[in-house]
Formats: sequence, structure tokens, C-alpha cells
Amino acid sequence: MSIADLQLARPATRPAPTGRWLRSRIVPPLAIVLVILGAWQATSVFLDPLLLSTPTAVFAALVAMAGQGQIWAALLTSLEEMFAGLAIGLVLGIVLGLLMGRYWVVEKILSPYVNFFNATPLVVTIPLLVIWVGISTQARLLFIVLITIWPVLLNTLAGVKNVSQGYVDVGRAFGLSDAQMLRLVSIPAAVPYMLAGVRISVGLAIIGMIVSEMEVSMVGLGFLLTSLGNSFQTSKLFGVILVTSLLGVLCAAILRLVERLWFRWIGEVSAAQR
Amino acid sequence: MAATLQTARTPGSTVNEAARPRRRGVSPRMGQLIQIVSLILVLVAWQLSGNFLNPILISTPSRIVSDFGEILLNGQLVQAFVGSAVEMAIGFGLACLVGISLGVLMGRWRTAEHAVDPLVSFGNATPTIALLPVMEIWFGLGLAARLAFIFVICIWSLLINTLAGVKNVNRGWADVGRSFGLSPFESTRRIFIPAAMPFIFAGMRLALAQAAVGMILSGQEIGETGLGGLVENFGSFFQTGHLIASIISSTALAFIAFWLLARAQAHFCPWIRAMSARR
Amino acid sequence: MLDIVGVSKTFETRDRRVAALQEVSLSVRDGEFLSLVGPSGCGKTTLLRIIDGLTDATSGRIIFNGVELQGVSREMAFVFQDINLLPWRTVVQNVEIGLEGRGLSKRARRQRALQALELVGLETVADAPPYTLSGGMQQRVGVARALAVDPKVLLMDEPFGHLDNFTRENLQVEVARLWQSLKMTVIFVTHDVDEAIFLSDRIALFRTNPGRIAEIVEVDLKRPRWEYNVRAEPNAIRLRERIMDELEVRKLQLA
Repeated sequence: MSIADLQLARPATRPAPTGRWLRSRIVPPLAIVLVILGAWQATSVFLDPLLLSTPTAVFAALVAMAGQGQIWAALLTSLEEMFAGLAIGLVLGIVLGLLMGRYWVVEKILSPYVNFFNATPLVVTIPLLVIWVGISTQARLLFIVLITIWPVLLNTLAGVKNVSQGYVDVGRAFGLSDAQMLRLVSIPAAVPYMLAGVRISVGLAIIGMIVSEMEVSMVGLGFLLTSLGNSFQTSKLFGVILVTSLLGVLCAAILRLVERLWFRWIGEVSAAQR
Repeated sequence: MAATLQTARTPGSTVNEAARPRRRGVSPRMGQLIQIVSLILVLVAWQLSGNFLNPILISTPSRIVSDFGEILLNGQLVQAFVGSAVEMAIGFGLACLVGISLGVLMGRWRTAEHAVDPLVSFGNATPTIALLPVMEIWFGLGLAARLAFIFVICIWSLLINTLAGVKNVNRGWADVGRSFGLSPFESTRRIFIPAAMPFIFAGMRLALAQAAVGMILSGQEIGETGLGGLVENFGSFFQTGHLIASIISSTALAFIAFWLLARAQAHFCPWIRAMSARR
Repeated sequence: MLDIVGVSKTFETRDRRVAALQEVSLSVRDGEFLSLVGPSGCGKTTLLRIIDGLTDATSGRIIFNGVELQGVSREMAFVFQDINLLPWRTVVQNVEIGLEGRGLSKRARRQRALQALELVGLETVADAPPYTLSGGMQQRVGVARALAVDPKVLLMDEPFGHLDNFTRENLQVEVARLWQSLKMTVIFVTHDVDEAIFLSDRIALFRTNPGRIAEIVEVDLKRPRWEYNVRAEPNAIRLRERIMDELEVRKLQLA
């Protein structure tokens, strides 16, 4: 690593002279969080607790709900639906994306519909889904599938089409068949794009789950949110929102882990080949 | 960390952007022909399906067209369309104002960034849809709640992408600012903000899609107005033709919104397209 | 008129500390063309950036006309290796950037900028976007941008490093001409020994690890140097050999 690299790199955050580092990176956010929590707690003095509740009340509500089992049942149902819908959506999206990437006829035929659905705020389709399958798990499942397909489809398509021409040339020079080309060149090269699409789709799956449960459900986290909101049980409501946030954070963290593992595996494979 | 960019396919991108043409030996004419023919075939099949399928399921193109004409003429569609469009514009506009300004501030002032970062990460991870009941509690069941909802839904993308854009400004350009004696404020104004524009527009595209969802959802849930309310209404009365017509109108609204954003980018930041075209 | 006194610069990363510069001292004469020459990574760009105020020295001082410099000075202008034209501005707007915030009217700024562009012969493309220009033309705009602020010292960081040979030689002549007519002090960083010999009055030779000045040689060739073949001059050949020896021996010692 030359001086040039060092110069052009970001001015380094000095490695842990712990006092200074703690002070600049941990203390301000911690302080702000504490201040906000404190201010939040204080609002109960002059604000109707119905509006904002307080940190202590929310915590208590969460504990209560956990004890009663209300929240576990909801969480379980929601997760089941979400993963089922996500799985189907990902598979469909990847398969269609690969097909469209490989066969331009498929791409030509399907692209108007893909563009249409990708641009539509898919929430509008919920009443139609209800007409088809009623207020049921199938409706929610369908919606989640619908919402998760497009990002991963478009990303896979982009990944396949943007395989560096160099790799394709090498493949042809070695006489690879179409299937081999797909398996050995196109798909591996498209994986980073795919993963990016998957990341987006997972986020959308969570949203899809909540939305569909808010609108067409008697079960699940989304329904819990609506009913708590309608009955103005603010503390419990915030508690459930916290749970959904944590769910989102958890999913994102898992995805990052998967990505890191994938790329480490790839790195090992290519290192081993040298 | 909050400033990791939300990349990859943004809504409003199309298959054409994803698939750069690399067909060997096939003319684009052929492609268009196949597309049109297949579309016509689908429409014909759809129309014929009405003969043996309950029209409640998917209706037929002819019925959809006439239903569309009906709600257009009686003003229902126009009112809903305009109402939705205005709400979306206001909510999105406010979110842009606040989100982009905060993003620039955080990007240029390290302390602000460190302080607010955990909140932003948390807010970004929260499925903001879940905050709909909260908006109802705070703002009641009217316009304010809908606007607040749209605002809360799309602000995160704007903030995070702006932040990432400002922090990832080409070091050389930042050097130019300092070397020629621009104050930090002047540098921010004349160098960092223009340089971050590609990221800011990417954030706006994401946020616009989210705003559209927020608009529809809040229309359905809070007051049954706008296109969301229309869709909800037709759904509950099993008026599938009208329903599908409304769905298509919603798509049209979204298309128009994205088109306007693209025009804005082409007008204010023509260099973004020109530069990537050169690569 | 420009004194670099005991300048050191250490870069710290998570795993190591790199001594980019160690106790570098140098006196720059008024109006001279001084080159800093050495292999990559020897700290010459770092020194230039410290002089301009873009980078802070770990220790040491820069004294300009008797005054110790703290940060950026209005009397110095920098020409970047990566050129760094702002793509959202036209050519003339790019040249104007140094003039903004100095209380000039819009017309006056544009006037000065156009004058600077005339010096490099690019006034005809004043309103073009920079990405329509070739690399050589873009760098000439970079030079114009620096000249527009009327600097006493011009700092050039391997300005022709990314250009092809033909463009580079043309630009070397242009820089020589400009220096001759404008009579300002130039500090020029390069790893191209021939380029340094062609342009400079003196050449400071750098060693690496840690970065320091090994020797400063005088270039005793008559000017203007574009009127004859410098490379064929016996004096120049001897000088080149000597410089290459100085630099090369060090390289072998490191191996």
C-alpha cells in the first residue's frame, strides 16, 4: 500500500486511542438516544399518554403481551406467511429473470407486464385479490408474492444481461453449450445483482406482510397493529411497532451475513484455483 | 450503518434499462412485432374469457374500457386522481425538503451524523407502513394524517441516499473546493450538493415509489378518498371492471410521477445521463 | 521566498504507520521552476499538498514571504493529476471557481476566466461541458483554472501523468511558454526525469521510505528549451545519467 493510497483514502479515524474514539463515536449517539428517551418519558406530564405513551409504559406493555402469548402467535403467523410468500416470489423472480435474460423472445413478451407491475403501487391490487380468494391466507400470500417478484426479477435480468462480454467470449472460445454457459458463466456473474434484488425484496416482503394483514386479516402483526390502533392502546401499539422494527433489522442483518459468507466462499474458491 | 446506499433496481426502472440490447442478428423491428402480437393475443384471449368465466374475476377489456369511461365522465375518477396526486406531491415534496436538507447536514457535519445515525438506521429498518395506526391516533382521520403518513414513509430513502451521496463525493472535487479557497459552506453549496445529485435523484426515485404506496394505502384506510378509496369502494361492491380501471389509473399516476422526475433530472442535471452514456 | 522547514508527515492506518515525509527542508527561489522527482510513493505529492494546505503536516512549517502558512493560501494554485473538472459546470464556469467568493461581479469573473482560457488557447470551447473535451484539453482547462486566480506560486501534481505521449510533449512546451511569459514560481511534481530536465531550473530528487530529499541538482541548459532538442544535449544526457543513478541505486538498496 503506497502513500498514494493513503493520501487518497479517507482521512483515517485514528485507531482506538480509546478515550477519543469513545467520545466521538459512542457518546453522541448514546447521549441523543438517552435524551430522546428522557424527553419522551417527560411528555407524559403534559401530553395525553394516549398520543405518545412513555418508554416505561411501552416496555411494560411488551412484557405483558409476551407473557400473554398474544404477540408470539401473531409473530409466528406473520413470519410463516412472509417466508412462504418470499420464497415463492424469489423463486419465480429469479427463474423468470433468468429466462428473460437468456431468451429475448421471453423478454419481449413479458416486459410490458413486468414494467406495468413494477410501476404500480401494488397496494391497489389488494381488493382484486380479495375478490379472487376472499379474506384469507391465500390473499395475503398472493400479495406478498406479487410484491416481491419484481425487484429480484429485474435485478436478475440485469445481472444476466450485464455479464461482462469478456466472460461470454471465453465461454464461447471453449465451446460451452448454452446450458453450460448459463450454469458456469451467466448465473455466477449475476449473483451479486441477484443478492441486491433479494435484499430489496426481503424488505418489501415485510411491508407486504404488514399491509396485507392490516387490510385482509384477523391474524398476524399487521392485524394486531390495526386493532391496537383502533382501540387507542398506544403503549401496546408502540411495542408491536418495535417488534416489527427488530424483525426488519434482524432480516437485514441475516442477509448481510449471507452475502458476506457467499463472497468469502467465492474468494476461497478462486484463491484455491490459483 | 445508515449511510449504506440503497442500490440496485429502483422502482420506475424498466426492463429496457435492465436489459441492454445485445441480440445478435435480430432486428429491433422483429422484437417490437413479437411484443405487439403477443399483447394483442393476450387481450383477445382476455376478452374471450368473458364468455365462460364469471366477469367478477377478471372482467373483460371491453367492459373495463366502458367502466373507465363511466367513472371518467361522472367525475369520480378525476376527483380521486387529482386528490391523490396532490396529496402525494405535497407529502413527497415535504419529505424531499426535510430529508435532503438533513442528509446534506449530516453528510457535511460529522457530529450530526454520528449523533443521528442510530436513529436513522432504526427508522430505516422500521417498516414505516406499521406507523399508519399511529398517524391515525395523532392526526385523526383526515388529510393531515395522510400527508404525515406519506411523509414518514418516504423520508428515509431521501435522507439516506443524500447522506451517502454527500459522503461519497469524489475526493478530487472536494480538493478543488478547498484548494481554491472555498469556505466549507461554499464548498457544500457549489461542490458537494451538485456532486451528490445522482444519489439524490436515486433516493427520490425510491421515495416516489414509496410515496405512491403511502398515498394509496392512506387513501384506503384513512377516509376512503382518492384512488385508494376508489379501489376499496369498487372492491367491496365486486365491481371488478371499475376496479381494474382504477388500478390502471393508479399505475398511470405512478408512471406520470416518474416521468416528471426523469424530466426534472434531465433538465437540472443533464450531465448525469451524458456522463454515464460515455462509459 | 517559499521555505519548507523540517516538514514531516506520518500516515496512520489501522495496521501501520507510514512515514511519508521525514524532516524535509527546501528553499524555493522566487520565479524559479522547481521539479520534485522520485519514484511513486516517495512523498512528493504529499509535500505539494502540504504546501498548498490540502494536507496537514505532522510537524514542520511552510513559510511564504516571511509569513507562516496555516492552510490554504490565495497566492497559490494547484493543478491536479486527475484534472478534477466539475462535470456540472461548463468549461468557463470551471475556470471561474477560484474567483467565486471574492466579491467580483459575474461579468468580471467571466472576463477573467476567458482571459485565462485564452492563455491556454481554449476560449472557443468556453461554454462546452467538460466531458466533451479530450484529456489534454481538460488538463489545459485545469491549468487555466489555476492561472485565473493570478497565483504567485503554481503547484502542479504530475499534471500530464494520465495523458498520452504526444499530448504530454505538447503540454510540456505550453507550460514552459506560459512560465516564461507569466514569470511565476512553479513547483512541479513528476516521475518523468526527461520532463523535469526539459522544464526546470532545479530538480529535487526524492528517496522513499521514508520520503526525504536526497539531492537538489541545478539544470544548466539554456532557454528557451523548446527551440532545440534537449534530449540530445550532452549536458542533459550527463544530468539524466546522474539523476537516474541517484534514484536507481536507492531502488536497488531497497531490494
